[in-house]
Amino acid sequence: MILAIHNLCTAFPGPNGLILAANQVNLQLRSGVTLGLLGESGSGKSITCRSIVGLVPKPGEILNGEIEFEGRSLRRLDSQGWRKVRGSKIGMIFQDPMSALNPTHKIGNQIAEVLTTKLGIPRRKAVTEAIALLTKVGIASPSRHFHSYPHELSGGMRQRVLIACAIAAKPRLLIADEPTTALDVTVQAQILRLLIDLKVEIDMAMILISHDFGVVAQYCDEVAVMYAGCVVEYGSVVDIFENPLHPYTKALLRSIPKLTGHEDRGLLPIKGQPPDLGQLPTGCPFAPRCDRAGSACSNVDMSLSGANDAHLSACPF
Amino acid sequence: MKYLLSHNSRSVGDRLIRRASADRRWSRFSLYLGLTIVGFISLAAILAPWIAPYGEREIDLLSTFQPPSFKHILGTDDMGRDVFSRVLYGVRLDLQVVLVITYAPLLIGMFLGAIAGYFGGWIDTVINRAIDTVMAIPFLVLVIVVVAIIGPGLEGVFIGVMGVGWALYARLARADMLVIREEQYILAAKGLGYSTWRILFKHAVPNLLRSSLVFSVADIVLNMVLLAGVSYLGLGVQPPTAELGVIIADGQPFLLYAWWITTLPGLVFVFLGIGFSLIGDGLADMLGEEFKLTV
Repeated sequence: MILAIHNLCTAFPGPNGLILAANQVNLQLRSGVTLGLLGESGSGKSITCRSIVGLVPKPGEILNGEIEFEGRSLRRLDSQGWRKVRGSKIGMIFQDPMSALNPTHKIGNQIAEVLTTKLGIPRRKAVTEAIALLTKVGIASPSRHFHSYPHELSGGMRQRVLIACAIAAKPRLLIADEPTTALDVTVQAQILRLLIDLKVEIDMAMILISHDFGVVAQYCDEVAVMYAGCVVEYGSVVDIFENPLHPYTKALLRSIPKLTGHEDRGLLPIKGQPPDLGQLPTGCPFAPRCDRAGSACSNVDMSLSGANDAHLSACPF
Repeated sequence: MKYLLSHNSRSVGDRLIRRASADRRWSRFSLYLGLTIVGFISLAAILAPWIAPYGEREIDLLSTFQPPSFKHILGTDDMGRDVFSRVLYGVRLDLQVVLVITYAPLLIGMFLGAIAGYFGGWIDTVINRAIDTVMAIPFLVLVIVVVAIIGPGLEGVFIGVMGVGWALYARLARADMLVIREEQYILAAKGLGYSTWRILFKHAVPNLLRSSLVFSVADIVLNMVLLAGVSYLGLGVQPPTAELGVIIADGQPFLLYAWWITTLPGLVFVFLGIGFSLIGDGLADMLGEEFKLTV
C-alpha cells in the first residue's frame, strides 16, 4: 500500500459554518495502480488531492483524518519534510497547463531546476537530462525547445513539459488533476497515453482526477466516485462500469449519451441540482436526487461497505 | 452583395493589421530613438576624461564669456571654463548619481514589496504601514530637512531619495505579488517542493520585474530633475563641481549677454530627459504587447 487515506476531512469556513469539501474520505492505493477520482465539479476531487500534498488553498484546512504515504504520516510533516516529499516522492500535475509554467523561465531550465534541487544533479548534467526528458515526453527537437519560453508552446506541449517536471525526480506517486481538461480531444488522448506509458516505465502509482467517464474507463485500474465531498463508491473499473452499486454511479452511467440505440432516447439527466456543500442534508447527500430514496437515507453514515473489499459502496440499500 | 461584404471585411482586416504593425513600429522607433539619444550622451559622459578638451574646473580668466566657437564648442562661462567640458563631466556625475538613486530604491522596494505581498499577515501590515508613512512625506521637504541637518551636498540627496524612493517600488511590487502568488505556476512550484525563498525569488520576483523596470525609466527622469533642481537651489552638488543643475544656476545671472552658459547645458538636459522618456514609452508598449501575448 503506497497511499492510505483514513477519514480525511478538509473544510472551508462558510457563511453558515464549515463547508466540508472532503467528508470522511477513505482511499487506498497500491503501487503501480492508477486510481481514477471521478466526480462532478465541486465534489471534492481536487481538494482531496491537494490535501494529500498538503496544499489545501487558504482558508481551507484539514480537520481530521490520517494520510499515510509509504507507511509514514504526511500530516505530521514540517516544511522541511514536505520539501523531501513534494516533487521527489509525489509528483503533481495541475489542471491548467497554460498558466502552470513560469512565463519568465525557459522550459528547459524549469525541468533542469527539478533535477538540480531534488536530485542534486550538477547543472551541466541536468541540462542533458532535461533534454532527454523533453524527448521522453514527446517534444520534437528537444534541444531547440529547451530554450523556448512557455508562451511559445501550445497547450499540449506545455502539458508535456509539466509532465516532464512532475516525473523528473521519478516520484512514487503521480497526482494528475484533470490534466487534459484544457486540451482538445485528440491531444487529450495523446497526453493520457503518455501518462500511462510513463507510469509503467517509472513504476509509480497514479491518481487521475477526471469528470470524464470515458477517460477513467480507458486509463484507470480502479475508480473512486465522489459526490458532495464523500466517496460514494469504490471498485475496479470493470466493477464500477459493469455492476455499479451506488445509485449516484448508476444515474451517472445512465446519463452518458449514447450514439447507438434508439434515436428518441434523448439525454437522461440526474434530476435536481448538485447540493450546496454548506447545507447538506443529514445522512446521504444524494438522497434528495435519488429515485430510490427512503426515510432511512437520513441515517446513512456514508461509510463504505460491500460484499467484498474490492468493491465498496456508501449506499447500504 | 456577397462580393461587397467580403471586400469590405478584407479591407477592415487589412486596416487592423496595418494599424497594429504601425503601432509596433512606432513603439520600436521610440525605444530605439530614446536608446540612441541616451546612448550617445552617456557614451560621451563615460569618455569625458578622454574627450573633454579642457578640465572640469580649468579656469582661464583671459577667455571669459566666449560664445560658442571651434575652440570652445559650447562657449565659456564667467571664469573662462569650457562649458562643453563641464557639461560632459556634469552629465557623467548626474548619470552616476541618478542610476544609484533610482535602482537602489528599486531593489530595496522590490524586496520589501515582494515579501509583503507574498507572505501577507503581520509582515504585510508592517511594511504597508511603512509605505503609507513614507509616501506621506514630501520628497523635496525631506531633502531640505536632511540638508538642514547635515549640511548641503550629495549625502542629503542620497539619504532623502533612499528614504522615500523605495516606497513606490514596494507598493508596485506588493500589488503585483498579490496577483502572482495566486498563479498556477507558484502552486506548481510548491507542488515540486521548492523552498519558500526559491519560490519567492526565483519564481515570483522575475514576474514583477516588468512593471518596476518600466516605471524605473520614468523615475530616472524624475530623479534627474530632482537632482538638478536640488543642486540648482544650492542644496545638492556644490560648485565648482560640474553638474547640470549647478552649471545652469551658475550661468543664470549672465543669461542676457551670455545665453550659451545656461541654455546649451539646459538643452542637453532636455534631450537626456526626452531620451529616457522615449525609452520608457517604447519599453512599456513593447513589454505590454508581450504581456498580452503571454497571458
